Amino acid sequence: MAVEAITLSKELRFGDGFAVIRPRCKDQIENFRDKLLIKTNADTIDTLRRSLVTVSNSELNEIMLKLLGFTEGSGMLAETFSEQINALCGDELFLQRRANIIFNLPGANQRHQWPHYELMSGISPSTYTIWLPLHDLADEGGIFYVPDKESFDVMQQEYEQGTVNSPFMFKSVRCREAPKLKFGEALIFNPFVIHGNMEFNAPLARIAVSFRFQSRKDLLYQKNSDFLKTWTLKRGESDSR
Amino acid sequence: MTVASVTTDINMGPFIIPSNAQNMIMNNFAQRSNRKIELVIPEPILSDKLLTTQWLHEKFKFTAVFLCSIHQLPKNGKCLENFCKNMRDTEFFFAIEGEVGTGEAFLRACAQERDIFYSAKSVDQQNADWLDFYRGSKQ
Repeated sequence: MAVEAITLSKELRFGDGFAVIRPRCKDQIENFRDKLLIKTNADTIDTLRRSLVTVSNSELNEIMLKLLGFTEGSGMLAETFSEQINALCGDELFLQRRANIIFNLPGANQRHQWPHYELMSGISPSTYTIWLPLHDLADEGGIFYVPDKESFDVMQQEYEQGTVNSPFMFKSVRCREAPKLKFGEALIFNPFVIHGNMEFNAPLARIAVSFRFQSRKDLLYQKNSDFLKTWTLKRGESDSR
Repeated sequence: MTVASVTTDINMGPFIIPSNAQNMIMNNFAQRSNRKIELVIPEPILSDKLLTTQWLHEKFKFTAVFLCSIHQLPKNGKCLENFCKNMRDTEFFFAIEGEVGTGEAFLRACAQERDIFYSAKSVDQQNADWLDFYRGSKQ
């Protein structure tokens, strides 16, 4: 169930640590998807999903390198969810410079992420992440989440063992269900929530995008201008950047 | 028609990058940007004025200049203004940030963004602890 902006902060800090959100208008997500299709020379999102299943790893890397130039993506998406972002961080942000476009391929032993929480990459403890698929999720190709307090239990046990992101974590969080989001829906989560994805069987690849942000008033951690840029939410004003 | 890269002091804002690594970073970005670096400019350490670059620009008329980061731009207001004016026709490539642009306004905007990062406070890394981060986020 989508969470109203006013209760979002409470849910992310003291509740499950993640929530489903929806933008007031999804034009910008459609614009984002259209730009992605232009940059990858694909006619439709399903064409791209189908082609990803058969491309070689080197071709896939070439696509990923090309997408490094898609620098306007994170700003487009931040404006899409400006209501929720403003409720959490105000208008003055440090925003991820390049949105992560994530291709997940179906089948065993394909690209999928080891479970992790965002903080371990050196982002600030005040950072939030928004993750959204660029199509409806009809299969298990989504992303699973471990509620905040359960994540902290795993974190504590790992701490006692002197490990971080070890096989213990992997074993602790396996066999989770991935929410089946519709195109336009997104998951927002705090940096302590463990998440990852599972192998899935489907004829098409899964394409998703994620980006991170924090208030400019909050402390930075290891990420600086390499990862973040300054951004002021326009909230409906035209975006010329 | 000269494309140059500029190495500077190892310290640049939050980053510590030795000059050989600076060259690797800039060469990689040049390759991805379909440019070939023709001249490598070693700016002196302990200075961020980028004066050598400006002096050489008078001779070589650089069309493009590669730097590692916006954090290498001059901090002193007058030095920055001179740099922006003297280099206004040159295309700048900041490899770490992936920012590319030309003109005084572009360079000033990059410096302004650098200043915002510079003035932001950071987590005390010496005493950082996973569990404290979590507990702190609930206060």
